[in-house]
Amino acid sequence: MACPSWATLRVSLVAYDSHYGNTLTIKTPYSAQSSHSMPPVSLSTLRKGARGTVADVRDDAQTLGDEAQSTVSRRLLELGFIPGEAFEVIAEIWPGGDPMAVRLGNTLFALRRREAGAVLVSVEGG
Amino acid sequence: MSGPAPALDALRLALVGVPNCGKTALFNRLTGSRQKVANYAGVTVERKEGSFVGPSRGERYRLLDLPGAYSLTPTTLDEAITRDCLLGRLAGESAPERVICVVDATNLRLNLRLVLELRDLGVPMIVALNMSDLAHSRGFGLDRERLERELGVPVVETVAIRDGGERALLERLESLPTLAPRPPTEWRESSFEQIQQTQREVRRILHAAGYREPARNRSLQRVDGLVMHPIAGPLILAALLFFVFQAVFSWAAVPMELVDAGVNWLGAQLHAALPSGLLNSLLVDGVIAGAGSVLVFLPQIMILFFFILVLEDSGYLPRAAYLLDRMMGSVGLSGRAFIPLLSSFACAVPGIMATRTIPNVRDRLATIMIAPLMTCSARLPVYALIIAAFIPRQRVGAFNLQGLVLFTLYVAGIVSAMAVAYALKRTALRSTYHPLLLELPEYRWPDPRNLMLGLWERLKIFLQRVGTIILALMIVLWFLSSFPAPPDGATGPAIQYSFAGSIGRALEHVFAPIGFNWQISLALVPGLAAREVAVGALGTVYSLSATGDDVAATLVPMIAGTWSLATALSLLAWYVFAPQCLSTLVVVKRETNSWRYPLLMAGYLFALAYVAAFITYRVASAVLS
Amino acid sequence: MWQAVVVGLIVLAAAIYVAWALLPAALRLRLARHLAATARRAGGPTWLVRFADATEGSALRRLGGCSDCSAVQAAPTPPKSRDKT
Repeated sequence: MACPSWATLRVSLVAYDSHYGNTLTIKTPYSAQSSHSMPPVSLSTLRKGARGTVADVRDDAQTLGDEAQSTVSRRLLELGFIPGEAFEVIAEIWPGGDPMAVRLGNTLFALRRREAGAVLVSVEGG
Repeated sequence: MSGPAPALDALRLALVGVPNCGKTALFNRLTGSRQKVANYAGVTVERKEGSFVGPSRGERYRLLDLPGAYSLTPTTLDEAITRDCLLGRLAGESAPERVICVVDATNLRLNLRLVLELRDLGVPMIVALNMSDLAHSRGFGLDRERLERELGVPVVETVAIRDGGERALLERLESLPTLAPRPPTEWRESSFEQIQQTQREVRRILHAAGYREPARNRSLQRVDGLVMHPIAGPLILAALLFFVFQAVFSWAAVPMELVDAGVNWLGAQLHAALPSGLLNSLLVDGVIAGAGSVLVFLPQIMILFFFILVLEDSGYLPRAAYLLDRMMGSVGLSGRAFIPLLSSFACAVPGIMATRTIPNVRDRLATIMIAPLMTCSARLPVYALIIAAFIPRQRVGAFNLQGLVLFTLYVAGIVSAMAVAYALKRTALRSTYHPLLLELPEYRWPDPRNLMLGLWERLKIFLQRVGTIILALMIVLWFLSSFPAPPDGATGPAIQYSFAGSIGRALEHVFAPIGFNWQISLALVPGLAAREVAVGALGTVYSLSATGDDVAATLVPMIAGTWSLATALSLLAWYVFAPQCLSTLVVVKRETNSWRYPLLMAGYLFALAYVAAFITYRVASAVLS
Repeated sequence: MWQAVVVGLIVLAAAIYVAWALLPAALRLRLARHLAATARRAGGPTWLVRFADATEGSALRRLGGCSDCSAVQAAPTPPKSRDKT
């Protein structure tokens, strides 16, 4: 019931798909040009099943806690939400889809829509 | 001081790494039982230090297990401590001479950034590629030597959970030259641009070292699809918890009977062997009946801890936190609060200490205030005793009725915790929005060795508790219950004339409205030191009340015969709320640095307990008569 | 009669232990230090001195306030940093 829908063939020039059989290679940083013509959108607008690559992380100055030195955006960057990194929204809570679970590269993160708002992404597919 | 002081020339090492990289397992592997836990000076952050000896040269090392940190820019006190310790800024601690940077070989992209951050600061280090066995078996590819060249620091593979898995690390450590002590390092927060730069460098290095990730594990993905499904997920969570409580009752039934029989046998033997008199009574009514009554619940507690340890090890808990985030959010808490609250199921004390991972002060305080409501394992003997005496051992559909009632009690604890949190967050502890950003680690089969070690630790602690404070309290209680001796010609059991009897009768005035008889009222007093002691106290008190030779009468039929159901239910309601644990209050005082909060906590909990017991008792009496 | 003596000793030991365990941590530590210092100064029998030292060590360890979890098996930290807590 929760398997990603394979009905739409996800084709992309981003080299994360299994061109090479069972192994994937990490693409080199400076070839991370996506061919998507759609402008980047905020991660917070995406629903379950959406995939793509990260385009940017805005600094919205939302603090992570009372230690106050760290903001959400900084922590997102430190965790790997950098331009070119592939992501997929794999789950969300009902109703409202908040919080959401996003796979970034090989790691799963849970975050709320509000935190996700700082991340701009390019969505793949139509 | 206790224990030999470590040799002054022992090399000081520190373990650092992001959370979930297996750092603690490596620490345990290296130091074994030679560990000491304390606090960093002036703060309530746990300081774990251990020692070990190098295999070939016999050199001594001291190892500090620093709190996990994603970066040197801290978001919590834990992370601040890690940074300060590494930079040599911590009062009373000199910087470690060398740092072992533990990384998860199956998640290098996340882990390597911290390594670079530390390397660029000039911290002398050696990288431990942990879980390398998992990496190999899952098909990760990496050229370790190339990675070492690219990073410019030694890199070794470790398998923290396997015997000998630390060998390579030790050998490499010994081959490294000793270093001169460093002055405190300069550090400034990196800018966003610098972070992105470092991340690009990470990816460049990984590419150069031939890092290859295998395709994702489909079956685990499917598991997550279910576990994190918006509808199936919460159902699975509820079912899991329900199953645990059922197991606690049904699996423990036979072992408990064995322990009970053993305790009774011992009591009977002693009673027969010793000449009747004071010593006989002390040993049989005080020690055996008292401490023995608590010992009987050992199997249930072990089973509960088994499940808690399995859940902790498996990686399921952060997913549960994700599922519960909405519910927690509705009462003003973050889903992150779930993990410390779940630890509270074992004992509120580590649960309260675990709230250090909650960055927001008000959230943390709210979580601390409700932690005691999460039914701790020490309540279990009390619940189990009353359930055994009053709830018939029958099945309702596929479920065990006793397990069902226990589940209900736990749910009552959780629901009341949420209600209190809601009230607190609306009034005193209002706070602004708190973000959620949680890593959900890969599922792991719990390591049987760690599991056994954990259970063994718990067993030792429980037995120690019974053998020291509980035993001592029972002896004192016995004394208070046996003296002064009844005047000549007195009728009724001797205990009524003793100190304890008088105390009980005095307290009874306070507790009569909620249906507690004097025995219960009395048992609540030593129960303040440790909740389970109430069971032991009841055991002693009723044993001493037994007139004639029916010493063999065990507690369960005794209270089943003398208490009313309304009283039993009222006591259950009392126990859901009552702050019967001085230790919890002490820890709250330490964690919040003031007496105000523990006193407030005790106050509101007692009030809640009294009201709940009152309502239960009145309603039950009306309904049942 | 001997029964009464044995019982009395056991009860006394238990009562002292309970009082000790329930004392506030700081007070317990001070008492333990005082005890250890006195034992050493008075030059009493070695077992007494060792007992006093062990008590002090255990008082330092039990600053956790709860005997129930592994976080309490603490090492005594050096006295200078102890004074901050």
